[in-house]
Amino acid sequence: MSKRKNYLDSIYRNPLPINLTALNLKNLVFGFDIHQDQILIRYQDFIFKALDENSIKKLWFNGFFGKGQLSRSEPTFKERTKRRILPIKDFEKLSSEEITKLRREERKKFKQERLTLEKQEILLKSNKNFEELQKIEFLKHELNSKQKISNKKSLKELFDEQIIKNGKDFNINELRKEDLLLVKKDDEGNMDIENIEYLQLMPVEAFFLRFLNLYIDNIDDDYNDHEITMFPLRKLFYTCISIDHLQPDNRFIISYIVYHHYRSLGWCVKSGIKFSTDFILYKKGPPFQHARYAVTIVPNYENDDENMENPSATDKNNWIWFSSLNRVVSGVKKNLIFCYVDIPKLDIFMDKMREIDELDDYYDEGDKFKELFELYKIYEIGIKRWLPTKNRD
Amino acid sequence: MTNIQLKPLTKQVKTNLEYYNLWSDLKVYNFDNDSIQLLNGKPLEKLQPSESISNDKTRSEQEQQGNDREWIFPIGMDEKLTMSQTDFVFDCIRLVENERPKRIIAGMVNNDGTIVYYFIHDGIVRPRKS
Amino acid sequence: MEEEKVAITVIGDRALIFSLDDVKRLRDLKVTGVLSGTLPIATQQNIFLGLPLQLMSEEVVYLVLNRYGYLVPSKFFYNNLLSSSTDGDLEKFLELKNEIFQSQTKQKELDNLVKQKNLVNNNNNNGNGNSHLVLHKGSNNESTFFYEIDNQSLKSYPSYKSFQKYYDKSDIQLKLLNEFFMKNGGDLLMANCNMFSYLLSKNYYIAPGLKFGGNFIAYPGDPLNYHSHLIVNVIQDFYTDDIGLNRIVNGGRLATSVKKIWTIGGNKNGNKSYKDLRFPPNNETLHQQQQQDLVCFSIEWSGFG
Repeated sequence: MSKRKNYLDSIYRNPLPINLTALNLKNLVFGFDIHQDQILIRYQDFIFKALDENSIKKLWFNGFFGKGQLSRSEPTFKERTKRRILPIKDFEKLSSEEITKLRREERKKFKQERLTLEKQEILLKSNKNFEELQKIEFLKHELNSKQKISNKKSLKELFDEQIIKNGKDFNINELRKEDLLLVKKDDEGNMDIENIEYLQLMPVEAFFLRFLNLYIDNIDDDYNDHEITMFPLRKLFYTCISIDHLQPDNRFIISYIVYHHYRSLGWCVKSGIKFSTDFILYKKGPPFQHARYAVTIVPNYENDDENMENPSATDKNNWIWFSSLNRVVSGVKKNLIFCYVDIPKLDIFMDKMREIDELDDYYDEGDKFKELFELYKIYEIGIKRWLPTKNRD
Repeated sequence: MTNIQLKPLTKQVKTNLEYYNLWSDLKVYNFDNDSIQLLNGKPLEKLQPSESISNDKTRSEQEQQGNDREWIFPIGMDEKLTMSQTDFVFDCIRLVENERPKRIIAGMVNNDGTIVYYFIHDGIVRPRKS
Repeated sequence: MEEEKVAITVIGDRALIFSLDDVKRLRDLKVTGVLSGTLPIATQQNIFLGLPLQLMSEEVVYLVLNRYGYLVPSKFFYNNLLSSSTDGDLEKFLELKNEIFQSQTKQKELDNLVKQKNLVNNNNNNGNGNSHLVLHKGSNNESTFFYEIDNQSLKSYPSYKSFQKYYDKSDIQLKLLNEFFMKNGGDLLMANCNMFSYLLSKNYYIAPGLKFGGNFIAYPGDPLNYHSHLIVNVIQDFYTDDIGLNRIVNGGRLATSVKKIWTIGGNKNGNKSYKDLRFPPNNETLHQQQQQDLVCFSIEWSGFG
């Protein structure tokens, strides 16, 4: 196990896409290494995307930013599809999606075998054929022990079995028409797959990277092959707010504040939509361990009337929703955290926004946005169900 | 069918279905002056049948009757969805298939690119027994 | 039909049934309620509770409007009723009270005699002549084993059921029902009640749904025989209320993991106000009277993605 851990630690060394170089060890002065090739992010169709392989690698391997749009998390579309469609069958670096698929099929096979045995058992019971029943019992026992973890087949075995099952011949005419569109030839004339996958970033991630000045260049929508223009922070901000109104409880702003809070504490923050929460927190990142915490954001207005009437707060005022959320989160063995965000008054907020809008184009907007975010306060509560009968020990 | 301009959400869901979930033969339909766009396609493996409580057929009969194709309704996670909108989608499909579908699939698109798919059955159905 | 009506007592904000016969009758009507009786020194948290049976607000409304039950007025209302009665009425009350009192004491005497007789018989059968039991001749020429202490409770008010015909009238019941609505969510409760009676008409048994994150859970038969099938959520406004996509993910995930279906329902025709409630005429069910156009959707995870 530790071999794998060391391997993971070595490839995922940096929590952020920054290279620190020690300039002066005595006084502990560090400097940023300016990357030779910048990370490029494009805003297109209302999505923040990284399209070129270099940017994708930098973003994923230094903090797990973004998500492969055609994968579960790490972008693995090209390799998986190559293995699926083309007659290339190498076992190395099997993706997590493929591993899951292999295990699922193994389990499905096991369930089918068990079902046939059970059906036979029922038939024999009704016929009172005791001799045959004993044989079935034995077979069932054998089947169950095969499924035990210590006896399970290795992934390589399963992989090889599947190749044999699918047949070695490759017939380009048997591909779906959707897959046919992808097949192409690479520079050396070998068969290859068009990589149509990009890395998608959440607006909070894109803003985080730009806010920290991590040398990200955002390419404008009217992208010209030879021009790379910087997205000014203000423009990025307004883009992220998008359809919602500019007001203190804007969903993007509150979401960003919570994201920034946890990221700056070292957590890897990902979307919690699968568990109906806002975010989930990984200690190191998805390849290491499952996320321990699920975070739900609850806006807290200064004026208590708003807490009682505004739908973004009242949605979360109700015990039925609370009970349901807690149940889902504990069902996946995570801990629920309620992150309350204190929302500043409208006039204070608008004053700060005006200051930001009035800035000169060349002024560092980062400081002003920092002041804006400092108007908000966070406090967290961890929730765990307590059962008086069970939790006494 | 002439080339319909795909809305960004529809495009995302279509790509996800074709290249991640391996669906085939996806078609786009426009309704209500192009304000609603729906997808219709064939899953990789036929999805489990739904059992309406008002249906007297036995389970195996329903299984045989189940459709090969499914309707997908793309929607963004930050959008609002009311009962009447959902009802309307079922009625829109009736314009194409001459009767309301037994179920549609809501493809909910999150801002990180994850798409979660949930069945919305018309009426009350029985839970699966597996 | 009158005698079979179930008496529903509302104490504070809880609607309770105290009679075991009523509990049985309710179960036949597919209304299960929740047993809530426990002893302070032996508290329990699960199914081993006893009377009284607590009803959901929706169950109360359903029973009253379909004439299966009636609301017993609170002491406050009862006093008002008394004070607003005429002298003639008051006399009738007292007469009735005395009648009932007399019949109850007579019954008690009879029971005592039977008890006494049985005890004497048992003693003789023991064949032991050393009986330490002495028969006292109490007052009123009654034989008792005990020194009789005046039982105060016999002199208090007779059971509320004996006054049923005085407050089991449409206008009084509607007034009580209105009061009940006001304390239990007003018009918000109406939508729930519509969903409740719709599900009952589809032969579901219904129980509270807090544990599963819904308004109700619905069983396809008696809860003692079946697992629940549905987690039901009521949508108040068909046209403007957001179902909540996050809620759909949550509900769908929860329901799939416990092998149930997450259901939502709303009334296409809008819900009437509770103030406009009337008893349906005898040949119509409440459901028909409300002319509901309830639309339901069932949600579960698709199994892929």
